[in-house]
Amino acid sequence: MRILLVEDYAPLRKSTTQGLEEAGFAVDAAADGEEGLWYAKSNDYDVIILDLMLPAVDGLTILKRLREAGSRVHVLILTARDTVEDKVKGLNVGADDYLVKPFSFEELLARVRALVRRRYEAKNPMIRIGDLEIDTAARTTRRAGQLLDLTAREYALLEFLALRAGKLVSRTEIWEHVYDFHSSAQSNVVDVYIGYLRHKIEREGRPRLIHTRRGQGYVLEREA
Amino acid sequence: MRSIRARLLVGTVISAALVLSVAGLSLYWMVRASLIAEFDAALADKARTLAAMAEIEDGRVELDIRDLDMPEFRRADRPEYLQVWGPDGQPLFKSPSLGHGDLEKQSVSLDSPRSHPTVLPDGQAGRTIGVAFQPRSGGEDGAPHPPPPDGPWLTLALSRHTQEIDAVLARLWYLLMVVGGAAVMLTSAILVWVVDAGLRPLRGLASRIGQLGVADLSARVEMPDAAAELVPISDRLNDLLARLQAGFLREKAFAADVAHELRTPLAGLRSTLEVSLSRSREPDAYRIAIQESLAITRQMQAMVQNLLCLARLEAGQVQVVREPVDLATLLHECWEQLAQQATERELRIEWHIRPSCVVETDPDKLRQVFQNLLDNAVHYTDRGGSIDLQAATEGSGVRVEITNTGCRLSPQDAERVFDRLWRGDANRRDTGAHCGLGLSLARRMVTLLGGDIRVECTTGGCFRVQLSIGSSERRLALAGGQ
Repeated sequence: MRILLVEDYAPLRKSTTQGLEEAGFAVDAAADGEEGLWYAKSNDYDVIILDLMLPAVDGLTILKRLREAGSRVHVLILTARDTVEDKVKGLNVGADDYLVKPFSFEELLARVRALVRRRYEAKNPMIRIGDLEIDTAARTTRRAGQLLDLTAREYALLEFLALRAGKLVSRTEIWEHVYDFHSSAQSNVVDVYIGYLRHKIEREGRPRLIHTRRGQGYVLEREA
Repeated sequence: MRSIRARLLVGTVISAALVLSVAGLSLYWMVRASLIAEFDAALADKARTLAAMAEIEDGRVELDIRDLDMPEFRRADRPEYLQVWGPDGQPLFKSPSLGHGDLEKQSVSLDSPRSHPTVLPDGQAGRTIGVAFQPRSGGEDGAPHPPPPDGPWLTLALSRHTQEIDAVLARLWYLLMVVGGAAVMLTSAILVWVVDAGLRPLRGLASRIGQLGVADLSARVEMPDAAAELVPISDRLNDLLARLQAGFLREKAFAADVAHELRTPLAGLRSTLEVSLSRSREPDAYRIAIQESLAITRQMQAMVQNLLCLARLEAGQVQVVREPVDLATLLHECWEQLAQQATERELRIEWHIRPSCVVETDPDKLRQVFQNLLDNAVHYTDRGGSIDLQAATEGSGVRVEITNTGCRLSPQDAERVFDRLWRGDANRRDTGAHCGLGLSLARRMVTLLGGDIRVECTTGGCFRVQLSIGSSERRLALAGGQ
C-alpha cells in the first residue's frame, strides 16, 4: 500500500517514514505543502498522512484542493492542533481521520491500515481466498494453516492483490501501490515479485491462486 | 452611610421637612402678625377714644370716663384694664377691674400705638397699649378745643386679654403640626418610591454585571435603554471587558501555540523512539535514533528555557548584574556554537568590530540576546549568503548591527517580529528549531538592560537588527535606515 506523508518537522518525517516502510508500506514523504500537493496529484495514494501547519501551502488547503479535484484518497490529519473546532474543521474539509501529536506509532499504523481496508471496502482484517489466509492486522499469511515467511515487499504485493481479490490488477496499479518513488525498481520488478510470491504460496502442488492475464495483469482468486 | 438609596432618602426627606417647617412657620407668623395688628388697631382705637375723653378744665384734669358705664372694665370674666397717670406720675384713674393693682406705665405716641404682651393683674396673658397724650381743654360750650401747647401730658394704659388670639394661634399651630407631619410622611413615602424608581436602572446595571460569567469574557453589558448617566459606566465596562478578552485570547493563543510548538518535537521524539524499538536493529541504527532524539531534546530544552526566561522577564523576576563586557569576546563566543552550522549552510561571516568595544552590562543576558540573534541569522540567511557583524562604541554605550542577506519581511512585519511565537512564514518553517521566541526574548532582554533594539529590511534586501546598549541616549540614530 502506498502512502504519502506530508510533514515539515524533519525528525518526525524521518521516523514516521521509517516506521511505515518497516510496516510494509511504500512511503513518499514531502517536507512542505507545495511538494505534498504535487505528490498527491501525481499519484494514486492509498492514504495521505497530512500535517496542517506546513510551509508554502497549509494542510487544509491541500485537502481542499484534492477534494475539489475529485480525489477520493483517504486522508489522515496528523497535527498538534487538538481542539474540537480544529478536528471538526479538518473532518468537514474532507479528512477521513484525525490524530493529534504526539501520538503512539502503533495507533498511527492501526489507523492507516483501517483507512486502507476502507479504501478496498474490506471491513474484515482477515482476508481468505481458498485456503489462503491473510491477517492484515498481524501482517501474517497462512496457507492451509501453515505460516508463510514473506518479505515485507512480498507481503505488500500479496495484500494488495488480496484486497482486490477476484479483480484484475494491472502491473501499473501494482507498481503504483506497492512501490514508492525511491524504489530503484526495474520495469519487470512486478513480474519478478509475483514469481517470488508464487514460489512461496503455491509450492508443494497446491492449486494456483495468482493467475496471469497476459498483457493485462494478475488476478488473485480461487480457481473457478 | 454606604447606600446611595439611604443617603438620597435621608437627604431628600430632611430637605422636605425643612422646607415644610419654614413654610409652616412663615404662615404661622404671618397669621399671628396680622391677628396682633388687628388687635392693636382695635386697642389703639379704644385708647384714642378714651384719651379723647380727658379734658383740662381750669387747669385740672377731668376724666369723663368715670361717668361712663363700661361693663368691660367691670366684669369678672376677662375684664379689660385701664389706668391713667397724671403729669406727676400719680395714678388719676383706675378701672374697677384693676382693684389695687397697677398696670405697667409705658408711653408711646398716640399716632402709632403698639401693644406689648403683658401678664394681666388676674395672672392671664394679654396685651397692653400705653400712650402719652395731652388732654383737650374744655370750654364753656362743651365744644372741644385743641390742647394747649404747654398743657400737661397724661399717660394711659389699656390692657385686654388675648385669649381669642392665643386660641386661634394654638389651633393654627396644632393644624400646622398635624398637616406638616402628615405632609412630611407622605413626601417620604413618595420619595421612597421616586428614589427606588430612580435607582432601578442602577440595580439593572448591577444585575447585568452580575450575570456576566467568570469564564465567558465575550459577554457584554447590553443596556439598550440605559439611562444617560449609566451609559459611560456600561461603555467603560464593555471596553474593559473587550480589552480583557483580547488579552485573554492572546494568552490562550500563546498557550495553544506553546502547546503546538512542544507537541510537534514531542511527537518526533516519541515516534523516533517507538519506531526504533519496534524491532531489533544494528547498534548503529539505535545510535542514530538516540542521536536524533537527543537533538530533539536539545531543541525542546532550548525552547522551554526561552519560554521560562520570557515568563520570568514578564514577571519582573530577572536580576541584572552589570560588569564590563568586551563585545568582541562575547560575540565570538556566541558565534563559536553556530560556526559549524554556518559552514554547513555555506554562510560567510564578516566581522567589523572596533577594538576595545566595552560596555557595562549583564554578560549572561547579553549573551542570550546575541545567541538568539545570531541563531536567527544563521537560520534565515539563504544558503551561501553572508552575515555582517558590526560593533562600535556610541556615547557611553555600544551599538551592534547584525545584517544578513535574504530578508523575507514585509515592512509591516518589522514590528511583529518581536511578538511571541511570530514567524515570518505564517505556515511555519522548520517546526521545532525556531519557534519565534528569539526576537521576543531579545527585545525584552535588551529593554531590561536599558537598551533599544529594532529590525529593518534594508533596500539591498538584507535583514538588519540594530541594538544599542548602555548608551546615554536611548534612542537609536539609524544610520542610513531613516
